[in-house]
Amino acid sequence: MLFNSVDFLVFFPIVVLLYYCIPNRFRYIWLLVCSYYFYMCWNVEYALLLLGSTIITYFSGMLIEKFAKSAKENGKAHKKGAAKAVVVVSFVLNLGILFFFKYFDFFTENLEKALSIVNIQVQMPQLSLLLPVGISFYIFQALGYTMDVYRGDIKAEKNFLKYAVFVSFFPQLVAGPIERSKNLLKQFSEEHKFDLKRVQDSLLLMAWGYFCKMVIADRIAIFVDAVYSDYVTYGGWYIAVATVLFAFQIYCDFAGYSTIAMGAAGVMGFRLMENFEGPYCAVSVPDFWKRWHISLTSWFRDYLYIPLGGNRKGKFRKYLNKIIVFLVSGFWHGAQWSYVIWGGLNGLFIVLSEIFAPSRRWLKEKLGWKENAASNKVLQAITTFLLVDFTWIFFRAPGTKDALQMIQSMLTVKNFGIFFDSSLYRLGLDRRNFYVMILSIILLLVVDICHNKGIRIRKWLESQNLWFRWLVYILLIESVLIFGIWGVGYDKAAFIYFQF
Amino acid sequence: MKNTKVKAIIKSIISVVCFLVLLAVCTYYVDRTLKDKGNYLKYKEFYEEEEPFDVLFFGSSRMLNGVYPMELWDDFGLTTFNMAQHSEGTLVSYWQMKNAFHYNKPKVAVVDLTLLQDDKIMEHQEQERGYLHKALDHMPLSKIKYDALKDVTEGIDIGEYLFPLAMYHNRWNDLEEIDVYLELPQRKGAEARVGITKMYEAEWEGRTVATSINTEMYRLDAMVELCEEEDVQLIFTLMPATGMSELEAMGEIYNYLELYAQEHNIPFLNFEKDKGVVNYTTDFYDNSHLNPNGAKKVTYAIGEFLMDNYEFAPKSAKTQAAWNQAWSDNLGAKLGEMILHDDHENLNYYLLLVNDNTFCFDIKMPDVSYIEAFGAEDMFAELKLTKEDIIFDSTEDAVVVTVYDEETGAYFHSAKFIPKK
Repeated sequence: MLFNSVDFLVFFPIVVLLYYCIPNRFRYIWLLVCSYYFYMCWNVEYALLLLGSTIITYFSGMLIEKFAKSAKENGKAHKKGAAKAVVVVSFVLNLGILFFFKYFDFFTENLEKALSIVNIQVQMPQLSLLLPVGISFYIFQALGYTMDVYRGDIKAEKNFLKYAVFVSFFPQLVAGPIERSKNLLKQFSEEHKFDLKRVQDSLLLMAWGYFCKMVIADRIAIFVDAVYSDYVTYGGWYIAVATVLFAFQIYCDFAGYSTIAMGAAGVMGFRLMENFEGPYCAVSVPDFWKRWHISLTSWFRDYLYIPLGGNRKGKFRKYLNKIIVFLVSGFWHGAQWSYVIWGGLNGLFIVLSEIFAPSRRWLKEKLGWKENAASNKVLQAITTFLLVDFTWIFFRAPGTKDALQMIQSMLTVKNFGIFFDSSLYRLGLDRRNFYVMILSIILLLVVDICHNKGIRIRKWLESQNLWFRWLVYILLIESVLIFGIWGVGYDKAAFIYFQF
Repeated sequence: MKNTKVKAIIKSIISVVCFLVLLAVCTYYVDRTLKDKGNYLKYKEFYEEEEPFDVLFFGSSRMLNGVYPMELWDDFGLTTFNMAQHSEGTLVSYWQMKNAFHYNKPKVAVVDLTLLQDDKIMEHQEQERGYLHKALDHMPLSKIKYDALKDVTEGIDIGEYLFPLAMYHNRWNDLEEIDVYLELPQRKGAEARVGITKMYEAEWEGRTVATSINTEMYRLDAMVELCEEEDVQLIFTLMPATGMSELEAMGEIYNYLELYAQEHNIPFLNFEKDKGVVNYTTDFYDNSHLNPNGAKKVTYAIGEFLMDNYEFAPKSAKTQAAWNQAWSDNLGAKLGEMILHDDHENLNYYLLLVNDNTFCFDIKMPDVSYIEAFGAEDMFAELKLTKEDIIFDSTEDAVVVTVYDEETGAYFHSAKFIPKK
């Protein structure tokens, strides 16, 4: 069930209405039923995987706590080892499921190629399995819980149903944010009273998410898909324009989902973590990664980068760890080398940024460069955007070879004239649709810049008179209805991050 | 304390309700503005009629382009409405009829059977899906609409029809002034296509009667049953649409329908069989639709039949005034059509519009060769214009047609046609 489907618009109010009618102590059971129903709308059988991962991590948590307690009370070192072994088993089983469904074909295909280099011809099996929606998200969330229990950051949840709803909570089940047990799990035991102000605020958040997804992302997708699916015909500046637009498409698509998720959870009184904080206002690539897909980046930081040694083992290891984290992050996004290259490039930019930081500082001092000047911030933001956007080519292109050909086309094809005739309006978006797209991107940037400056628009709106607040709410809803890409003639565009 | 809490709850509920009402009102206006106006305004005219119609017409675009209710008002004083819709088969016609009777039950219902088909969405392409929207979107939300949708779409994509904004919200890109200032077309549902296609008369005689019953016949049974229940007199028609492939293929079925109509004691006006009503050289827009010249003839023939066979209640002064007003507005529409075809090139199209019992006209030209120059021989024959009726003026370099009001003789419009060299 997609957030931008009629089904969800029927499902969600029913869930919320009954949620507030049910006594507090039973609400988590209702949410569990709804979450599994939500998931099973895609594929009934794959709900078993969700259940499987839940069972594994639930019992892992119980065992880890038991062994850890025993080790602490009796000082038995082997018990601590046992706890560690349970963590390993939990990781192996969960990552095994992920590997089987997401990476098996990729692995066998590459193994075949590798062996053929040394003249060994082997026919490896291809499973061609349908990727379970959101598998990377819920498995990471469940594994995060295992680690948190192991580290003693939280106590293992005894109530299986409560734990199951933590793993499967429908607003963020299929595309995040990847929640932390420390933040979310305890909220299923809290009492959430109906609070009109909070509900209003959350619904506004949802409306903004829908705007980002349906008005901006899905509109941009029409243009980007046209160029990327035929980049031989639409080379040079077409690719450049499409790539810049793709940066906003993927942002609005993914942030749109996260915002709807936060809003949907908020309506029921749950607080999900922020997943995006104005990423294109970032002044460096490391800064970008503090603002982009925060739940995943912080997951990798806590559960991979730090266990790898983080920055505690010297500069070289620090840089290496960062590169590893980003390569894995790329691989997490998809079983394709282009994702790995995308991750690797981002890791490389971060490492280079850190290596050259002292020389940059030195040069700026010598030149009398004003670090805090607005012009500097704008320049840094543009540079960062261009670097990040360059890596998006690998993310969006069908494969690595295509990405390289597209880069070559951008550097060689001379067709700057497309900006002066109506060529750009012939790729699925006519002139007016193109203007709507540009205006909505400007609106998005204004919102992000305000956010960056510490101006919370929702808070500001709260302080306004009723007529103005309602005007904004209604304008937002009606603009989604009018300008949104939905209805007949359009397939309900799935969120890009569902495939991960 | 408790009192304050109750007050807060009541305040919250009022606030939510007010907001939802405001949102619904805004969405209603957005929906109204974005709707396909041609279709929306057509049926708006139907729903706004206060008194029962004398006759309602149902069927496909053959009927839509074949009967002009305003002419029936002018010639016979009948209040009628053309409910027909493009590509509408018997299945949708049945539901149109059921819905229409719910809001305005006429004395007579005329159903054209030219397009005897089952229009289930499953078998249709995108274009037909659009036609289904045209036929069904106007129905107010009701059990009838829901049943119709369930039947026609077989439950697939029912939401798209219940909430048609899904279909046309993209029209923000094509909005025109008419989308904001809604002006009723005053055609009482009919459509007029101006153009001429020379046709041939297909042989009717000698066709055999179909032995097997068409799968859609049960829809006709349902229509017959509905009209009996509602005490509405039913008439079947077959519009002139010679040369069309359906006729070639379905001639046998149409013969069967005649027998069916006889069996159920339903009059069957078969304009395809009864030649002589339309002129095959001048009265067709294309091979399946009549142009205004042909439509007026068929309309008149139906009007005569209705007046000869049924008794219609006298109209209230209010209805008469409203229809007379509609008639004057319709004259305005006719002038609009003339201006639209006042292109100095197509004399035939202009004469097509001028051939109307509301008008009289004179025609000037330098010499008779101008008729040939415009390829207007057939049209002149149709208008029964002889040399004596033409004013030959050697000072003119074109054909000049001046149109007057038949009753008052007042000037209406004139156009000049210069032949291409």
